[in-house]
Amino acid sequence: MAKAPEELYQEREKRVSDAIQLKVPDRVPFLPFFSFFPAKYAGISFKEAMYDYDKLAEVSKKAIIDFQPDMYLNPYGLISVGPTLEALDYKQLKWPGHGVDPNLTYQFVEGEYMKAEEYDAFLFDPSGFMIRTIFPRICGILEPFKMLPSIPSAYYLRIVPRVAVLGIPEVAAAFKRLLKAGAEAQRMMAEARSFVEEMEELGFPTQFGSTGYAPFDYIGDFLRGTRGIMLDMYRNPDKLLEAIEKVLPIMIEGGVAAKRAGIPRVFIPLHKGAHGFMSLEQFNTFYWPTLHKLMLALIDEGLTPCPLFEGDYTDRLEIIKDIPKGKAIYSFEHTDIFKAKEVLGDRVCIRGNVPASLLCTGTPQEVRDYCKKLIDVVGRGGGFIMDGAIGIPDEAKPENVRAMADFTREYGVYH
Amino acid sequence: MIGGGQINEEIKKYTGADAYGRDAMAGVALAKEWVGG
Repeated sequence: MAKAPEELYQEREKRVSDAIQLKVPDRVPFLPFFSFFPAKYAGISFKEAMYDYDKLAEVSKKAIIDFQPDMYLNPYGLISVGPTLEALDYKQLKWPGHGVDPNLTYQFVEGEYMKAEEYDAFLFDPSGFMIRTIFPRICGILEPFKMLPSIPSAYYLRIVPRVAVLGIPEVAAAFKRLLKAGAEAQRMMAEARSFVEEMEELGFPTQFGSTGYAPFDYIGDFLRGTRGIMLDMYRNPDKLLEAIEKVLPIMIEGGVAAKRAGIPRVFIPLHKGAHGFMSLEQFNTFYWPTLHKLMLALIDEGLTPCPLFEGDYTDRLEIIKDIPKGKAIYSFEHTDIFKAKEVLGDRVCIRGNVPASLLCTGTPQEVRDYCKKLIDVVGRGGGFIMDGAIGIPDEAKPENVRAMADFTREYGVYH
Repeated sequence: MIGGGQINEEIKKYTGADAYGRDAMAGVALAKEWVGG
């Protein structure tokens, strides 16, 4: 008799939770990180996936049912953001049908959104700086926000002239447009919640309850840009370190939101801490200390940090080993995952890393061969989760994803 | 010669490139080897 969805749901939760706790699960969990793959697989354009909430639900559901992941990635947070971004006239991203071909994935727009000489303004009051300086630069509709007064200056009767700013037609119009964007985002979030409920009824848990960011990446990606922050490590190290510390509690607060969502896993995609971006000394100075504190704070709250180590961290495995046993999932891309098993195997659950090139250009047999090696070596004794190196590429051949899924289910059983 | 963070042996074969480098410095090393500099 087929198992009831609730039973499958519990089995899948336990399978992943056993892997995290370094116990031996019934089999290797399969957690494919999908982006636009379900859209391509089901034959809709990436643009449709970004703008049409119903179609996105339909193609995501199809991929989940066809490939039976142990946990799925809620597609809304990363995909169906088109209408809201459009309403904001958002500048930090180009996306399918908006600056990028309707069938290509989105593209981050690198920039020095915060100037080197603005560190003090950020450090003095991050919220005010964000609202009056950064928002006008990254959201076209919020350009008039640079006219907004400093909030603490609205004391006693000064509140009258400060409030008067809201009556300036451009500022008033910006708020109206912002309300529209807010309503759109609410519609999207409601769809996202009902998708989670529908999948729960089908027996599938979701992977992440919230997202966190390494404080260095927050400054480097969104504010200073890669070039800016790389120079800051040499020219402005003290201000940079101060800013990173300032960001840490903000990242902890965002990560802890997972508790309210009732899903204890926190996704932390890591960008600039890899071997190709900084030396070990820089990693130890600028990157690791606050990332480490973020993960420890999440663990203290009963949550499971799930950092995705993009790029190559092979030479920094000993450093990142400093984490409480059985409390996190480390996803690896180009890091030597077999070496990672040697160094981290008794400390932390490892997730990865079928190469994107193999999934896009290889044959199902080559995919099975690679998965076999992963299960034999990294999966030995538990503590391993199967995924692509950087999730499942949008252009992956469906037969290769199927080979990966089926092989893991069959060969990944622990005896 | 092809290069970039995502390049590996499979992509080299798939594209028919003669060599690949993961970053700019690897490309410089390859070029030096090729021109004997």
